[in-house]
Amino acid sequence: MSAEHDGVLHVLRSVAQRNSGALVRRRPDGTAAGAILADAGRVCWARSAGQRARMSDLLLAGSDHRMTREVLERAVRACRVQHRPLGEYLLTLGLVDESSLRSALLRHTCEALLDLANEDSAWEWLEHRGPGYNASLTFSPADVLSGVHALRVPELTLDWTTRLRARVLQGQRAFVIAKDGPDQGLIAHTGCDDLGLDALFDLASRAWELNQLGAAIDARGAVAVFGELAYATWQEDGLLSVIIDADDMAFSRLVSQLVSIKP
Amino acid sequence: MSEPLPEAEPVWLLAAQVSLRRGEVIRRASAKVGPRLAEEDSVLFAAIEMLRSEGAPRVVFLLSDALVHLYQVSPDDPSLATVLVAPRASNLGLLLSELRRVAREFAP
Repeated sequence: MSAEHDGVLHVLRSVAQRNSGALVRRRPDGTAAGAILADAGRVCWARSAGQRARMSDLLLAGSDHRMTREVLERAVRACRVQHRPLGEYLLTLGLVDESSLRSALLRHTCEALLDLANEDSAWEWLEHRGPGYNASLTFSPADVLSGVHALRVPELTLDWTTRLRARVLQGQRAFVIAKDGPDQGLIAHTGCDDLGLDALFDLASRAWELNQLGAAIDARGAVAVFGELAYATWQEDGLLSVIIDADDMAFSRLVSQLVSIKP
Repeated sequence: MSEPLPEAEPVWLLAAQVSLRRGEVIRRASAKVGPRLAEEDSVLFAAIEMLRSEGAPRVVFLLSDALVHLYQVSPDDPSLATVLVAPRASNLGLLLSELRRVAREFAP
């Protein structure tokens, strides 16, 4: 596992343990290299001093020409005066849609997080007791891990997100992981927004276990029930794909899905 | 022990009941017609190993190039499991109900 990946996991664990506040990376000279804001155990926003892309550029690119730089700068000033989060303000005014805003926030946050993960200095936690963020504009561990991956290979994450969404049924979770190689980690997910880091790791480790069981007979795919959950796993393009389902019919449903995915 | 089930044309190639505690095949039946499954023993012992490990799943479906494997730990006696191996082209709904039927038929 790379040091960069370790750094991202460290941040996600710290956020999960401490709930709401700011994780600041402090340089030896006392200056801040950047910070990650967290709310209710989820990542909201991150900023690093060394970051190239500015949030405003991402917002303008995602606004589909509904917003000029001048309008955006006015909004930034208004938010400073009113102490309001910029994203939520832009949403209220209809200047961006929620999906574009989430994409811009996630990309900016993941870029900052990677920058900060590569810094060699101490983390400091500052508790926050103010009003919370709009939960739909905060990010789960699965969002952050796949967002970090998308910075390296955006086409792969986009392609797999599209494939997963086309294959899963309502109420199912699914993700794609690379166990080794340069793309190691979570590539894409759908339906895993409510999972904490430990729960996500538990599911991934079960899925890997099932994949290993199938390898005993050279299986192209496998479905199994562990406890209350049914898992379908298969290898595709060198990556491990997983769908998880949870009701009485989950096993037979996943069997049908697997057979249609691997004809 | 090898004993064909009273089934004229089974949808499976191999059906068996295995003991997970003792790691042995208790009963088995092969289809009378159609291709015979090569290396039946290794398939059955792989299933036993898979199901007897700690935290093992209680129902498993494996899809290979030519075959599908279905394993189910008995809900009444977790030391027993039913194994069914069938051609990949089999009707899956039928196989799942056949798994339950074979489990009942082989029940001690």
